[in-house]
Amino acid sequence: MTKTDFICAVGKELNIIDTGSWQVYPPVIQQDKCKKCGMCLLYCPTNSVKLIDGSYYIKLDFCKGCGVCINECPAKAIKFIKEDEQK
Amino acid sequence: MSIAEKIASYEDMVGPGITACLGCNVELSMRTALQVLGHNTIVAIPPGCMGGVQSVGWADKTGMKIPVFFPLLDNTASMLTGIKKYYERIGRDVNAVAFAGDGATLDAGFQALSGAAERGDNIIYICYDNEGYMNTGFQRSSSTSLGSWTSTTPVGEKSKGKSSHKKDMPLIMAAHGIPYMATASPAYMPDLIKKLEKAKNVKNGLAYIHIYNSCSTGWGYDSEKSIEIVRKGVQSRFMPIYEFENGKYKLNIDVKNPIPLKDYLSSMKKYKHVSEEQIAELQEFINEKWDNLKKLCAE
Amino acid sequence: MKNIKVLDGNHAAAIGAILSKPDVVAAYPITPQTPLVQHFSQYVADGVMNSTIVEPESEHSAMSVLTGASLAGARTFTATSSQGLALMYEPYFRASTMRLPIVMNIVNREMISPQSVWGGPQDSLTVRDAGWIQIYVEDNQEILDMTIQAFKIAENKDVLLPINICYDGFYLSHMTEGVEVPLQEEVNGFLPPYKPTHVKLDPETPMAVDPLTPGNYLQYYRELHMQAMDNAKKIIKEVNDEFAEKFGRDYFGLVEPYRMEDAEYVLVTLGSLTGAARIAVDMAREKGIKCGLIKIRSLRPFPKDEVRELLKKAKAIGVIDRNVSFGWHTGIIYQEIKSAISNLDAVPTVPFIGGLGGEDLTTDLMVEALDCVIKAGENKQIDNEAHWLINRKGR
Repeated sequence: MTKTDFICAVGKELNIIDTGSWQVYPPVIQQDKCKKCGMCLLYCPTNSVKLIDGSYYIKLDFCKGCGVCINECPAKAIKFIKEDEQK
Repeated sequence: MSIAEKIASYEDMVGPGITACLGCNVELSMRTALQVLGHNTIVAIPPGCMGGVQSVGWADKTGMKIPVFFPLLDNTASMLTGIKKYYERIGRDVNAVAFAGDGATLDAGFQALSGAAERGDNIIYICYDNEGYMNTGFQRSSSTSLGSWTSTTPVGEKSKGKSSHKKDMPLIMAAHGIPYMATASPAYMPDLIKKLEKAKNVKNGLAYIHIYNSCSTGWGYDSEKSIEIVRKGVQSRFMPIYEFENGKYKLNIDVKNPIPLKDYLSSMKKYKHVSEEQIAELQEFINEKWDNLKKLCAE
Repeated sequence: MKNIKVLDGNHAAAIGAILSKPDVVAAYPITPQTPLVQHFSQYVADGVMNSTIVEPESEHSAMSVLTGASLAGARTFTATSSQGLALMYEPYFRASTMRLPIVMNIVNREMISPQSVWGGPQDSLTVRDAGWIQIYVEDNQEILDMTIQAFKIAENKDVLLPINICYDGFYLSHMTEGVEVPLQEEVNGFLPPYKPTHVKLDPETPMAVDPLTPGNYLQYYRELHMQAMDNAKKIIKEVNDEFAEKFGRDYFGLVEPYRMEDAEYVLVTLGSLTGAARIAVDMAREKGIKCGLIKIRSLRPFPKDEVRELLKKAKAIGVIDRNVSFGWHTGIIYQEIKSAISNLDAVPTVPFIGGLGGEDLTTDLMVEALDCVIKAGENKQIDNEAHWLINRKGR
């Protein structure tokens, strides 16, 4: 029988699900086109957009590749990188 | 500081990966809400999408960095009342927060919520309204709008989707005379964030926020359109954004030139069958609601 | 000097609860429990009681408020009856499986239909497998004393289960008796404060309560829950003995034997009907018939070893049920007893049903039952049909 440290249904350690594996193509912000409005950060459902030293980057670890950031970017600065482009 | 910089500075309270569908704006709303509400929060996630996607956790692991629990579908508000009352008793100010779907709010959980509102219990109740029981394959709820296909109001020879209008939950909650009630949309983030901050500061009763969400899987649209769809909802006056604060109504987004309702309806599969008559009936319903809201806000 | 007050059962329960100082009380009024809620509200209004009272809009919410409060760390109390219990079944089951030591008195009342407000433990017996400890009491003193003991049993670290103290509607809830009321200091010395760590919703120690749980974990939690029930048998007895020593009233723990020393013919009872059965036993004893009775106090956990031991020399047994088990044509306690004494197949055991809907189970009816048991014993009559105890006066 599976045993836990608890006497009833309780969870303490953080459950982590690898939603990054869902991505078909990774979205990337083209920094030269980015106007730094932060819309991508506000609209990213998985909170994968990070603000580092005034610039926005997509952290791909848990990004599901939904494309909301691409659709919402007013500067059209975000795009999926297809396999041939990755090489 | 821009609103994006502000949100970036807040810690995400939800586990990094939860199994919400691609582009889910409910996941977005939940993460944002809990970022704003912060560490000193206990959150109730009743059965529904956000419970189903393991935001409460899995087996002996948790889905959040803050205390989180599954209430029953129909007792979210009452359980939060119990929690809040005890913390008030021992002199600790803790946010007791619900993040509940429209089924757990407008249907099964309605009585408990109405009771807590009437008693003036100091809880923050956020309803994510995606107009149906999406977690289990889109069955109808009382928040499903007229004409919508659902798996329990299907389209066939004799019927064409849901035959009754959506329950006007925001107005019902305001009619309880609670200190704060607001509707919001994930497409209008600064407005939503401001409302969450207001709700957090309510100490003399229940604060209710009704978020008009959508569902790519159930409604039938591509995941990247997730924000675009709800923006159209607001721009067509289908999802009116307003608040009720200390007895006064205020329209936060006055849609002076609405987009045609058809533009909104035709952007998803759940309405693809709707007839001109149904569209006219929906338009009439929306117009009446809007006119009424304008009157309330003028008073 | 003893502090004796004339109290009905509901008032005795209210005082027992108040002496136990619950942090949060939430109760929805329902006949015959209503006066209990009124007493609480008045005591709080008068400043006699310091609990936080929530007036919920239903029993479902009453139990839900307490579930939340208990998860935050509160000592909690409520009470209900019949339809109210049925309405709260959903959070009721969950309180036990979350291991929350909520104390709830159940003022037993029939389940409708037909529309009835009168006594009968059909309500609480129906939910006997929902994981709560259930103790049935006989008189108003026992109500008060067991309400205090309930907190100590439920909150024991080896138990951590919610508990019902069940008493008959109207026969106890509305009838007055002399009841000795313990002093607050005495109760304080008996009952330590509740400080949970096993499950708690607190931003200082974040945890998830009830994550989505697969079957392999669920089975483990159920096994622990069963073990806690087993532990409760010992704890109920220990708490009984400590209470007896401190307050001078002994209820014998799980099951109370009456004149059982050499008893051959035995009645098994539950709740307030025990009084009339005791008289029937006394009358038969006067005629030289060796008979006795056992009063089941703890239905969950069920005292199967104790019952088996007490009944091992019986020549015939009768079980008095003020309830029914549809489809068995017996009462529920009958099945419980038969399961416990499955080793005594050759002992005639007669199921009695009576007193439903608040009908009076008179001494005459108990004499009738005992006569029937004696006959079954003499005739070694193994297969016994249910014997309905019907009050023939009136109607």
